[in-house]
Amino acid sequence: MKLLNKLTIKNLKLNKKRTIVTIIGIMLSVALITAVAAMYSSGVASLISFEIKEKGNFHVAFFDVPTTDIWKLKNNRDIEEIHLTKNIGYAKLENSKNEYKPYALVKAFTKDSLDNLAIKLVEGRLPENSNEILIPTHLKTNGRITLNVGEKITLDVGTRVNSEGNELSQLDGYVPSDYTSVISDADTNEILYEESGNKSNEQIINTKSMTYEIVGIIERPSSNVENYSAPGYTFVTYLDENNLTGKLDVYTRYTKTAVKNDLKTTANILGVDENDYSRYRDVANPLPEEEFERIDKEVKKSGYTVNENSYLIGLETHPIKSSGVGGLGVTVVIVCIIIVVTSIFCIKNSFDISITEKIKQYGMLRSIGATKRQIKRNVLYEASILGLFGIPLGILSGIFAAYILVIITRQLLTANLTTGMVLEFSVSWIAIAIAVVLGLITIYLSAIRGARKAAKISPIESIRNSGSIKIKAKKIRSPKIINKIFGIGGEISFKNLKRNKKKYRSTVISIVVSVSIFIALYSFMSLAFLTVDEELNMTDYKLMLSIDDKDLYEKAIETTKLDGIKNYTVFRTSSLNIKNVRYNKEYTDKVHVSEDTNDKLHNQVAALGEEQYKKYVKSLGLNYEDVKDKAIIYDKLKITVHDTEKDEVINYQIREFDYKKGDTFDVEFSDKKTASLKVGGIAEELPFGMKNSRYNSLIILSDELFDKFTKTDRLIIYYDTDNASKVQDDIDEMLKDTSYYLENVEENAQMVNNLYVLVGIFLYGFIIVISLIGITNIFNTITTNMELRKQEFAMLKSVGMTKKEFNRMIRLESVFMGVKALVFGIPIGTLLSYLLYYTLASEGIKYPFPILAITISIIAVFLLITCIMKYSMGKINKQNTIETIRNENI
Amino acid sequence: MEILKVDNLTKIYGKEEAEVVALDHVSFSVEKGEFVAIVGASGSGKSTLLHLIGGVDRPTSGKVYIDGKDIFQFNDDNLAIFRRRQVGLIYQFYNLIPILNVEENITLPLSLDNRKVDPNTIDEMLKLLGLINRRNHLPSELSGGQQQRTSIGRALITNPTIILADEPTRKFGLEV
Repeated sequence: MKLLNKLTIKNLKLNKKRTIVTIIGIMLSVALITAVAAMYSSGVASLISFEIKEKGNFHVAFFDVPTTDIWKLKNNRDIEEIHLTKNIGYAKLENSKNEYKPYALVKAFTKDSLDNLAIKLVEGRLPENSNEILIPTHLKTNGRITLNVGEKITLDVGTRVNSEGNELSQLDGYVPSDYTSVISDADTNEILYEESGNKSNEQIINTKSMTYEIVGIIERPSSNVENYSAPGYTFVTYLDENNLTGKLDVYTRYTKTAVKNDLKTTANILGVDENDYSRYRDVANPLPEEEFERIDKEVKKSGYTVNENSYLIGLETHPIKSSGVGGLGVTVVIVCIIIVVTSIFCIKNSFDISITEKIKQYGMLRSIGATKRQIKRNVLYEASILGLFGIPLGILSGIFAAYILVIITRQLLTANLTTGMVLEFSVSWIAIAIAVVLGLITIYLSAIRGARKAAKISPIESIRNSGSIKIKAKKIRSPKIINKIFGIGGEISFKNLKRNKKKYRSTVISIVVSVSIFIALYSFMSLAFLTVDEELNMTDYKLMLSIDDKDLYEKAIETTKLDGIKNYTVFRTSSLNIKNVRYNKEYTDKVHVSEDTNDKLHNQVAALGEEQYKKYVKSLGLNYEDVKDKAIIYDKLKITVHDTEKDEVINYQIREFDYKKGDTFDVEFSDKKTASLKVGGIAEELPFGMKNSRYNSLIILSDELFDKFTKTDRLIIYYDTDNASKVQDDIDEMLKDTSYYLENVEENAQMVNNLYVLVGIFLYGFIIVISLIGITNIFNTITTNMELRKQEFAMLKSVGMTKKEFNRMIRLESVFMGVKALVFGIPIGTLLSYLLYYTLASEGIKYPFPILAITISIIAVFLLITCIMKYSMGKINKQNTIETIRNENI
Repeated sequence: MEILKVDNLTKIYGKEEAEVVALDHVSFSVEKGEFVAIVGASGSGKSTLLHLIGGVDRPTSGKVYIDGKDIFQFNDDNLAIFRRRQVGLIYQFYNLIPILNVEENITLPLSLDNRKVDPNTIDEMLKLLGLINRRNHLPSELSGGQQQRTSIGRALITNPTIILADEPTRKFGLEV
């Protein structure tokens, strides 16, 4: 091997500690990039998995494909796999309570399609022949038809056609009766939009009586199989792949290369010109009508109807650009850039140190005739050896770290059962390749500057050994006070730091960066957790049930009798207009009210359920019998006023109206009913469940009075309980098979809390690793600088400096360095944290000064520097003075 | 034949207050085969002159011709190559690489030139320098005199046109 390279290796071996520390720095940097990339690819893979599970495993679906064409699609090089279904036909469901869904659509799936088109079995098993059938859950919840597993059902299955005899599909909705639909402006009553339609004129012909055995129940199919306005409930039966007839629906998955140009591939399958089709499908740039018609005709010639699963295609081809993931992708790129830049900075310093140490050697090599290029290559050779160890180790540890993180994330987010998305671990080879490339770039950029510098070292510099000390024309004075407090050792330290600014600059910057990011992050996290607290305190109820179906009211109200419920409100609300309203002057002084009308429009009116109403009335000190035919007004509103003069924001609680007990006021309800209400009382407090209503006035009526004048479709029940999850389970049990919405406030807050914990883990993990990279850098700087000054120290000792004075000198250097770093780092960090607060915090939250973070930073910095210096000092003190001086002459 | 010609060589260090004129328009020439000693008081510029002649440093003004070639016309790389083949430098302080052994230190210039090292030549050199028993030792394991002899070996191994020695005997008296 070339001597020069041998030299490099020997050097590395000699400075084992520094070599290892530098390798660790590289390893950490590569590991971080790998972990980030792996987390990202895991995220994308999980999304894709989830999407496939929920919506079906296909890229493009072709409907109405004749059986004779199937082999063409099967053998198409661009198509990886196909899943077949066949519409057997429609059958009328006499008992469907949903006017818009009067049919059953019997759809046959092959075994393979049953596994790949998001068919989720809730009960029973999958059909194995064409006499077995599955029914969807929403048949019961939506259509109110109850059928059970094991029952037999007979359907007259046929073709659904309109009055012209044209076949209709699930894309053609059913209109149960003539209608006119009007949307008007709420304030002016001006008609904005009017639509009318006729009842569907269609029938089912060529019916055949089919008897099926129900073998299972499935979840409502994805919108790709049954869209929301489809007129038929999908009944799933078995399709024998060896016995295909008629027209089929083919759900295809394109190959990896084909899906990258999915539009071109689809165009080829349809037999349409590629460019035409791409323009035809470009929603952003619609074609002129004639062009569109022309291409549309071409497309229709194939006879297929096409349905693209754009979201899945997007996820699989351009995850970074894909909606929903886009932001995440951008974040990942930004994070990687931060990592690379910080790493380059730290690792570069390691190389600089290694080179500084070898200035003499390089100079000597140059003096005996090494070219600049040889020196440069030598440095890069050193870099590549370090990379050879650092990068693979980094990749392995990065993958491992990502794996652990995925497990932790999964644990913390299990509360998020509603979406059912599970984070799975997936490492793409592209991600690893990118990490390797970035690692190489990092190392190269770190080393190249040092390499160039090394090459520039003139032989004379090394001989004279003056290189790194800046020659300033003027003398460097150290303040007398330094000498007084710290003695001659202090003076030397101070001068050393002043002259060798460059050497320590990167150490100082490393510390500054770590400290400021740490303080900023800490503030961010405390802010986040404050927000969570806020959210939890926003409501006084623990569970909220919302029902839109009148038939369920009774059952819903029964839930209030469950065990564990401490308080509840059965809340119904509507709105009314107060005619010729009397406002409180104090209120109108501060808040602008509409001058177009003398009324107050859309004031909320509510009923609380008998029991809660009685409770409430009692708590207000009123008599139930007195007020049950009167109105209770709560109008003590929270308003925020921006005082432009004083430039401050002030919160008030002012009554909106000028009514008192006994007054009468006229109202008009939403369906034009009018009434004259007497004020039964002015409330100081809101009823249970309404805590967040302090911004709007509320008129409370007894249930009887409410029902007299108005109605609403929505029933809301607020619950207070100590055991929210049990009550939630009980309610779910009581209301199963119906359509309702139940919210668990605690669970939500817990979930948000978990999310923040997770974010915290990521952020703190990130900052810790970056700091570690910085620490490796600092370690290298300090230890090497100590070593380089071996001679100096030995000389000081030989002229009689005591150990105590010596130690003091060293300690002083660390103090100076630490102070300098903190003097920059703390203000920058605090500034960053204030910026975060300013942009992110919602009103009412005070700026949490990061005193704890600052204290931690100070302690950490000094601890770090002291440890490192002690370590180096230990080594120096062990040296034999004479030998050191002698050895310097080599 | 003129092997070395120095023409109006001037070297000034530093700026303004700290300015030092080390060499002031020095001119002389040396014939092939000549042995020249430059003597002077300390601080008179001897080392500076040597370094300039060796092409290790560049002058403020003036020229140096070695074997007829104006060495400061070369760019840095060519100067380096020239130096490793034509000039042997022996320093006041030996400038050996502490982690290479004697043999490796001596063959360093050849290695830089990617020239193969003839084992016989090395053996002869080591015998001549009295270092044959020390060939695998590191500099820190040698006496001052042995280190200096290693340094001399490095200067001689390429058979240079010109050998420059900067107070080579300072350290170790009469051994050489």
